[in-house]
Amino acid sequence: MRLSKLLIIVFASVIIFLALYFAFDISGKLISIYNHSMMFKILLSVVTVVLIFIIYTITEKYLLNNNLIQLTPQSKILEIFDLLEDEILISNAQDLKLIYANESALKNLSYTKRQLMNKTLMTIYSQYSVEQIREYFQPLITNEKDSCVFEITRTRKDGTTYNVLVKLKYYSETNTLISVSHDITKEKALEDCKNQCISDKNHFLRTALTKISGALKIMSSGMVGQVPATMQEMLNLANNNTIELLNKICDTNNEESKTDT
Amino acid sequence: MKNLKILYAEDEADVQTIVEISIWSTSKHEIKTCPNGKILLECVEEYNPDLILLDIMMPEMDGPTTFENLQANPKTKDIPVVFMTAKAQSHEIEMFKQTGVVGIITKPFEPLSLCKDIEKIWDRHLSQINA
Repeated sequence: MRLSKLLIIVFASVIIFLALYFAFDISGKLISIYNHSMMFKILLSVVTVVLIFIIYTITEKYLLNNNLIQLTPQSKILEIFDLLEDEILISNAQDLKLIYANESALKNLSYTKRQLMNKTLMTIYSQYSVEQIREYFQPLITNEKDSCVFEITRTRKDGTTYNVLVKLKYYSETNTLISVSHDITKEKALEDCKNQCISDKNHFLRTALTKISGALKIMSSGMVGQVPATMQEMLNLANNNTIELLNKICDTNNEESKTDT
Repeated sequence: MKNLKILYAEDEADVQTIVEISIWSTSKHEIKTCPNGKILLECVEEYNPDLILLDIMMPEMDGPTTFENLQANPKTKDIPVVFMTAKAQSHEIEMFKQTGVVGIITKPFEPLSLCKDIEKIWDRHLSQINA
């Protein structure tokens, strides 16, 4: 129990007890609590306890509401932002000056708060022009969109770069842009690795099938000598199955498999 | 349609054979094969081909690097180059197109119509030059 709560309850109890005591006293019926019967003392104590309980409940609610209000100020929210793994940047939409960067953003960008504040967004988007950066958030300012999500490359203090997935929101009341982003370098590397594996698998299968299918077609066409009818049937069967196998294994559509002539 | 002199770089001997048989059986074009891009570069000036077919993935020197070298040489930069590739995903095809080659033939190709495909690419190239 917090000290302030305890004090409120003690103070309220004393007031109630005294009020009840003097109320009876003023009525002229009673001179002192010590002169009354045991029944009266018990009744007075019970009423006091009930009132203390009511006051306690009200106090609890008041303090709870007060605590919630205390969480709201900006300083507390920014403290919470610092706990997040996502990078949060707040900047002015007019001059693109950075107003806030949370700990994750500062750490990944290798800047201190002092170094980054009041610099423009171009410090961390040095690979882009101002016009290109404005294109990203222009639909938010013109109210075409509520928020937008995009991939972009950021530049660290040491010049190295990393890719982030950004969710951007614009607040017209303060003319600020708030971006929540996370580093997708590892995801990108995994995606590239996956694509490379698929590409290599396709290449391997297509090369092998080129040989099998090519040889079968050359044989069945009679290019390398006449083929008996019964053998022709078998060659066609093998060739058709090779093509079917190709279509099933290679994850490419017909358009992709066409020869670009 | 004139008879073309085709220089072809391909590391897979079996694919080489299929392409050679296809060309010889369905046309009167002349074809010479090399096992990789490096050897192709060594004989290109002497052979003086009308058209070059390049596989993409080859040891020693791959297709795109060979193409860059051909482009860098004033004597070979005007020879039309066609990539023949088993790298057939749409983004890969798009990437190869941007290199400046005159055509791309994906594997597996149709041996019976390979010549026609090459001739179509040749005709389109001629019409682009004359335009």
